[in-house]
Amino acid sequence: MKIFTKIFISFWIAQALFFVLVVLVTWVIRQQAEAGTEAAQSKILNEAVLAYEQGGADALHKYFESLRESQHIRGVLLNEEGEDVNGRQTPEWIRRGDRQPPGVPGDFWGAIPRFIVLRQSMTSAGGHRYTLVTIQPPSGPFGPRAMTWRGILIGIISSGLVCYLLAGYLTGPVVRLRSATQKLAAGDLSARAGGSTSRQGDEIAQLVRDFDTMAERLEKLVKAQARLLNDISHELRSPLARINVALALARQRSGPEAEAFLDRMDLESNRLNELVERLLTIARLDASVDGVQKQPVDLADLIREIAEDADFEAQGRGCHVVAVIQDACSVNGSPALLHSAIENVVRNAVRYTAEGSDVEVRLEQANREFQPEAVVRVSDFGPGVPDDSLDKIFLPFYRIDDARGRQTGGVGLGLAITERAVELHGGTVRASNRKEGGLIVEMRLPLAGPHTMTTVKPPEAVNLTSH
Amino acid sequence: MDRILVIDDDVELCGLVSEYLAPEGFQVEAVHDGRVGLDRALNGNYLLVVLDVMLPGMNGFDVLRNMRDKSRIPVLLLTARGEDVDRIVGLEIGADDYLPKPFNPRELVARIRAVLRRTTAGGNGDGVPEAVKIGDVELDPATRTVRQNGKALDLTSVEFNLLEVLLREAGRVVTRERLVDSVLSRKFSPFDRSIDMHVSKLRKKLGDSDAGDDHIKTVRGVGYIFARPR
Repeated sequence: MKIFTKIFISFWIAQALFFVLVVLVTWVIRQQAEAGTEAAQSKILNEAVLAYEQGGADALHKYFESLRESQHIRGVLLNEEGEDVNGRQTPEWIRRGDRQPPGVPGDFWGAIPRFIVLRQSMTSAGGHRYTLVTIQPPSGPFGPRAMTWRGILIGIISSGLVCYLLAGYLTGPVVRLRSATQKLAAGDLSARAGGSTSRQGDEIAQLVRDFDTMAERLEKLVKAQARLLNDISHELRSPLARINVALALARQRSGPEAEAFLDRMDLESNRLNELVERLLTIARLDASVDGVQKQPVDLADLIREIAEDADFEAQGRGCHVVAVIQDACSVNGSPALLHSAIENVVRNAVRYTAEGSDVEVRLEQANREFQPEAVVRVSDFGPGVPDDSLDKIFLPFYRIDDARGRQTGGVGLGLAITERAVELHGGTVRASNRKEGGLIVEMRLPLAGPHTMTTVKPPEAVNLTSH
Repeated sequence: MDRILVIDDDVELCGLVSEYLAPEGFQVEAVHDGRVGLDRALNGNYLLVVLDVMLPGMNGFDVLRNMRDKSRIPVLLLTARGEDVDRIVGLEIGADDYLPKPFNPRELVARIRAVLRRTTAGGNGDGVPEAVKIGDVELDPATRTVRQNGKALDLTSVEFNLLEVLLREAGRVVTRERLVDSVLSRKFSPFDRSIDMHVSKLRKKLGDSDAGDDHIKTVRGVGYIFARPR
């Protein structure tokens, strides 16, 4: 049965139930109330007639007074002609036989009267016919007001119950669907939403089935891609391995004339090696749906290490790499990836900074919108980057100036890896030019702690800051 | 000439490696199938096996596992670069060291030599150092045996060397750098967790001490210490 039909019928039943119950309950209760009141009414009539016939108008008046004081019932005794036996003027509305005193608004537009007006007649022993009219306010639990509230309460509870069951029935699979979607997005490609299908053929069950089909296809595609990556990497590595050994053999057996050329071949072979490795890293990062295994990483230690290694390299040009650790920071993530990310930036800085100048790697903690983060700033005294290319440098293979790029080494992938690795850890990276000249690359990473995410996000999902 | 077995399905590479290793004093026999390689390793008379993990058919790890079941012959694994899991699993199963492909042939020679150095007793010719006993563990470098409560322990040569260093420094912390340098003959690299793998395997083999905890304790960020009995 379709969802639409289910909802329609359920709501209809709920509403109808409500009305029926209200009416029923009100009716039943009023019956009881009226029955009770009628019995009382007979008694009052008898007593009134007795008082009148024995004591005259005064006795009747006294009786009615006491009745009013004790039970808040106002009474009027009429004779056969419909005239008040007390001789007073009978109000027109009583004479007419109206149900309510005029000018008194009833509840629910007159459907439920504000006062209960009862009439009863009897014939006395003396053969006179009397009519008693009593006016009383609704009393306690049998009053019309109470009946209304009771009815409403019951109606609310019963329709609430029906709607509760309906809501649970409908949202159950929706909650399952949501949970499966979240798992899938976080990287669990085996997540499925299908469960007990107590519902056949309705729109939500179809949605669940469609979702599962989509998840299946997604899982297959990603696995195929991973397999392809593996095969490619293997195929690329084999000839490279052979070249390496052949080159070493050539060196063993050749004279000094060949050395320069063998060096060149070595260099190109290493470049190829590095290129392959980096390409595979990027491809793997892009395809990594399952996020990264996290462990606590001490950024201060990491940076000190990177700075030391880079400093060694930098000395060749008379430069130094200085680590400035302002705050100790610890993040959750992959030490190898973070190492690559930061090292790539530092290596670039060393490559481009002016001869004899220093590269600074600064670590400090910042609080952005109550989210504590580690800020790593690498600054150099190089030529900087033209403002309109500041975000482009993170693109794979992007070079500002082709010729110089190849001279200074590198393949143009380092920053691309940095960006992906940083985003995988939920952080951001951006570059800007210094007033004093040179480039600053700033990486922000959320700190490990109660505020961090429980899973490290895959790059596709992170799109909060654009460059 | 030292005899070495190379198990790798890349025929051309094997040819090149054999040529390269010959002037270094190594006689190489190359085999291109896992099963055949396993058989040769167990029945030939080789000093060391160079094994590629990426073998078709019977994969490298299975070959290694089967080999380790029956022999303690030193094994150098050729792994895929960037695949941490290869290294970890390989060392777990019992490889002595690893080298990612593509490799620098000079490094291959260096690592082969390092592994061989470890497995031959003494090596220095300065006289064999004396036996050492701490708690229930007794180590004798002359026979390269280790006994725990009198019972002989089956350790790989790396594990033996590792235990020796720790025992001789019992009660003092030995840094990971020093362990990697003296046991694996390598420069320490922060992401190289092979030494941790070896320590963990050694721990398992030693079991609990009389005090009920590990013989070897980890000192976070520094290294390891062989606990002296109280």
